[in-house]
Amino acid sequence: METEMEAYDDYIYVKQCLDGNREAFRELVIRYQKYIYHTVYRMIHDSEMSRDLTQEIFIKAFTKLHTYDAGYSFKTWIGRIAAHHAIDHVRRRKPEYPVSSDAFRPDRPTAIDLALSREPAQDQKLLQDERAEMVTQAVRHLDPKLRMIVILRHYEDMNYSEIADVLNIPIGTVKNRLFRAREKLQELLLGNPLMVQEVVS
Amino acid sequence: MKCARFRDLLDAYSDGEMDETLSELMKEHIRNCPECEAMYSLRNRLSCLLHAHGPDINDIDLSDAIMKRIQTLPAPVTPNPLKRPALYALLAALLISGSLMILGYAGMPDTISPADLLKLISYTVNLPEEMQASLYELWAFLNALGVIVRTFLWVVVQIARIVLVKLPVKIPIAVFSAAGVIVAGWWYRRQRKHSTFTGLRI
Repeated sequence: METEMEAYDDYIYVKQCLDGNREAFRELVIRYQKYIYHTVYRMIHDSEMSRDLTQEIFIKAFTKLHTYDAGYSFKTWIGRIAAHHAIDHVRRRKPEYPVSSDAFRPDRPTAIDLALSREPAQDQKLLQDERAEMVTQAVRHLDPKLRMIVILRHYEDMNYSEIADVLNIPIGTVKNRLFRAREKLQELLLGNPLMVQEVVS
Repeated sequence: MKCARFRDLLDAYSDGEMDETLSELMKEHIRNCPECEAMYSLRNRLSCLLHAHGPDINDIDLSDAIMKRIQTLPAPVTPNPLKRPALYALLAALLISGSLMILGYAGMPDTISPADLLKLISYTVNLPEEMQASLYELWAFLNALGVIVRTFLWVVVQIARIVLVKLPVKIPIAVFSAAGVIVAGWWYRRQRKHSTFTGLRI
């Protein structure tokens, strides 16, 4: 996830903050704002709201800085605050982000259909957008906890133990949620069991 | 390997979270079982789709906005020593040892300890024989407890002397302190392992 050197630097910045040097916190913001913003954005798909949430997360981290445990990396620690905040936000504001069920009509071609059909070259861009939209919608269709697992595994490339640390859950639970999330995504994106054969061939 | 087992382990395998021996068995199974191979490629396909079609996110720089808000906040608190559980434990130990000293358990010669008081009562009051026997048993127990408590207190007092008065370190004191540090370290690690550091559980 990050080098030992970086983790040590983070520790120094935290110490400097606790000793009264607020500017040291800027380094931590610069280092992790992208990670936090991306994670939050992938959860809620609203850039304005993601900016606000990212700010809130860093403010919370600053006020809670004395509870930071140097046994974990700062990235894990702030990631945990972010995950908690983002999941909470999705739960509270659920009606504000309706997921279009239109994307999953049975007669609509699945991403695999689109991938397999040979479209003329000029339609490639359109096809790409269509597929990206389907993937986005499918991920948004997941329960917030499962969505967070998919984001951490597939977009942040974390391994199981890093995910377990960030979400503060046992590795067994990580595996279980990942399994459920993937089954659901496969169902949504890769269509019915007949598709299995098609993909193999 | 059976298909059910293969499917249980499929995610760990495709995520590279598996040791080599087991990975080999999985590979072997994929070669021989078309159905499981299909499931495996479905998983791979999904990973590719997710990777290839993540949402486009613009990079942002919120550092100025965040720092502006932070300037208006009170400074983060340095950990309050009184919030450390180890200190509470030490305070509790001192409190208990203090009260026991007053009760006569820590070698104050001019007070009567509860054990001696009990013995005195059993001599002076005319009690039924059975009750007297159990009183003697209680007396013996309290005496033994007294020895343990006094030993413990001696250790506590020696440690306190080093910490508070900074007396020159003598060998027994050093030995006991080292033991104390080891126990405290073990306790702290155990504590940390079982606690959640921000209290957030998702």
